[in-house]
Amino acid sequence: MGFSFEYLLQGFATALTLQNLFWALVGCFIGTLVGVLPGIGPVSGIAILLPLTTVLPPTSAIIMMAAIYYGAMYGGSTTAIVVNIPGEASSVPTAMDGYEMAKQGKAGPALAISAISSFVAGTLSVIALTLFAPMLAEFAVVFGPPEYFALMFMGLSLVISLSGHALLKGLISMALGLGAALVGQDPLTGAARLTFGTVTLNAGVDFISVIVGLFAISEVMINVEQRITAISEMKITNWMPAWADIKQCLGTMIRSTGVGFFLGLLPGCAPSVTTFVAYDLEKRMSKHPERFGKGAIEGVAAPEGANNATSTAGFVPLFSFGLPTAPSMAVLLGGLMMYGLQPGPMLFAQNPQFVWAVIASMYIGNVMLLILNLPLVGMWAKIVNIPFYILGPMIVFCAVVGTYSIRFQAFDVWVMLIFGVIGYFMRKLGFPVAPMVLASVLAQMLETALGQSLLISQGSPFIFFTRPISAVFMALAFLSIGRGIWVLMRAQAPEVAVEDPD
Amino acid sequence: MRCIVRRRHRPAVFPMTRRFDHGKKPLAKADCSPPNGRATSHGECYSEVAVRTQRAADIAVGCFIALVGIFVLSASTTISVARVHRLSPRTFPYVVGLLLLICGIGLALKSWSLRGADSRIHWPDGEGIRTITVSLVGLACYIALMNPLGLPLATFLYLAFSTWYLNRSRWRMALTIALITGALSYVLFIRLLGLSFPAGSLFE
Repeated sequence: MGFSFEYLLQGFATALTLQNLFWALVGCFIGTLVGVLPGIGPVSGIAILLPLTTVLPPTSAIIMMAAIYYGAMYGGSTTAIVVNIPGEASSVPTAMDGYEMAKQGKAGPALAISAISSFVAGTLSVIALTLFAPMLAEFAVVFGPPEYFALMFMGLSLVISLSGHALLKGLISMALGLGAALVGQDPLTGAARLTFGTVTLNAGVDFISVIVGLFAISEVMINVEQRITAISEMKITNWMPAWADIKQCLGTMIRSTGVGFFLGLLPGCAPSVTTFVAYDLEKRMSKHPERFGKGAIEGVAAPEGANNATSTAGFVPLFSFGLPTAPSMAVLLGGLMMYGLQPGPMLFAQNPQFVWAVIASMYIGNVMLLILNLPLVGMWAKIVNIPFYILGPMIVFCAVVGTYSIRFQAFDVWVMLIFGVIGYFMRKLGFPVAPMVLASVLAQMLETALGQSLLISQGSPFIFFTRPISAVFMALAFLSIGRGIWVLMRAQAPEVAVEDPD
Repeated sequence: MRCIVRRRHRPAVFPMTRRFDHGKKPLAKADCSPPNGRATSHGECYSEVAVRTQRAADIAVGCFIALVGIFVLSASTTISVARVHRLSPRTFPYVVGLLLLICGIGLALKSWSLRGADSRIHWPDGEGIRTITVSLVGLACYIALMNPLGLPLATFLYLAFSTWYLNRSRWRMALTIALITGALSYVLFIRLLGLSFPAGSLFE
């Protein structure tokens, strides 16, 4: 079940079929588009499209979804460099030096180096994913329900404790996500839970409605409130970086890949964290740290490499353990489950063709994205100019269509609207959104794993502490909660989450 | 997530954003000072009346969440329990209710005990609240009209209204976009993909 070239070649054979190539290209295109466009990100993009992809075979659908996710990381830097608007928190370091370069007339080279750095980091990370994921999956075969429960518990704890100085808000967010997922019939007994006697709620709340509401609708509300109309254009004439610039950034690209990839394996370690770490590392290692913030090209290459590496690294725990480390990964996990695929170690054993085709498609996707982003960067920069009075209603239209097509019921769209309002207030009040998304997707798996564990132990909760692997996960979970409590006790300011929801 | 201008921790400036212009008089009594004392130059205006501090908001939200917790706990007691399973269907709802109750009280108490350091929440001004409310009502009407009118017509009406509302000088563009998208939604989702969207009496 471990890595073998034969599997990878088979994966390439599947990924290189005309149909899969087409959907990978569509995914790369949409990914770059959602990365560039304000008001919509990869989470909303994937969640909206997920129900509509039921007409596609699972491999093509997941290839497209994955391409949207890593493609968005390529597109995210465009607005940061061209107009100094870091569309994502992870693009803030890119804007620091990228916009300075743009002001000096070097917007083209900045955009190009960001695409090249993204490509190098993306490709190196896919190589690491190819080697690591099957290895970890082999290790995870011995996992039983207690280990899975402990792993998911640890994942949620890390996501909560890493979301800034907001332990209580993170816990509330997680509890609300769990609560939303519990509405409806209990999967084991069929008992109606939290339905308040209404028949409509018996079918339950779908996580896609929750996610689209939290991300797309609340984002539109924020932009509508601020009465944004459009972003102005910057004229760019010279697009290519000098060879010396690329050579100067090679070391940066490799280092930022390492930082982004290894930190990205941890749940909750979003690109917004890893890009800052990579940027800081480059600044410390530079012989001229004073250039950073004033248009240093390494200051663009480092965060762009790190965010691509982090996004690819997220696939390692997803494929090996079935553990999503970020909201986008949670949506992809939901997509895999929707297609009847059980993410985790058995994915490599039972569906090797599928998983290797998706991995192989990432190599191809990175090449496609380089082509889409290098020569066409001018086109993407122009797309930023779509006025918000057109873009906002169109995003809402896509969200409504995507949500309605989950079960073809208006109920799901009402749920989306409600969660849009909840998401708006969560953002305003400094609540982290990631724990809610992860909890709403993981709730059923958590409950099933807990039920099975208690069945094995005949009702004793100590099973999680007597089995070595689950004990390690539980210890890590309690350590992260302990760290969160320690930070909470020391904090002398109101809780405000710092996170990049994507 | 993509956004244009919002994060408190963003050090960047946003000099090139244009804002809706409804052709109305400038906002009255608007506090255009930067949120949290940070320097931004994108000219957002926040209502003085609606501004509350993070501490006050956290106390109010904490109490509200605690009430939600009590509500969930009481709703959980009505779940029928099957004895054959080790894990009762009430367990998770109880955990959720308890977490909400404890964390809600914790948040309220912690915020209550804070003195000194505080930050402001930048709520929208009157114009912003009106724009959000109208946009949400438009969306609610879109959802409500989806089944009786069908996807194409409801989409046309929603897009025509929302696009016009956000920029009233471009009503022709609003109509064109709404017409094209409404027609596309019919051709793509109903005719080509054969998805079970309501077509409405016009297209049936």
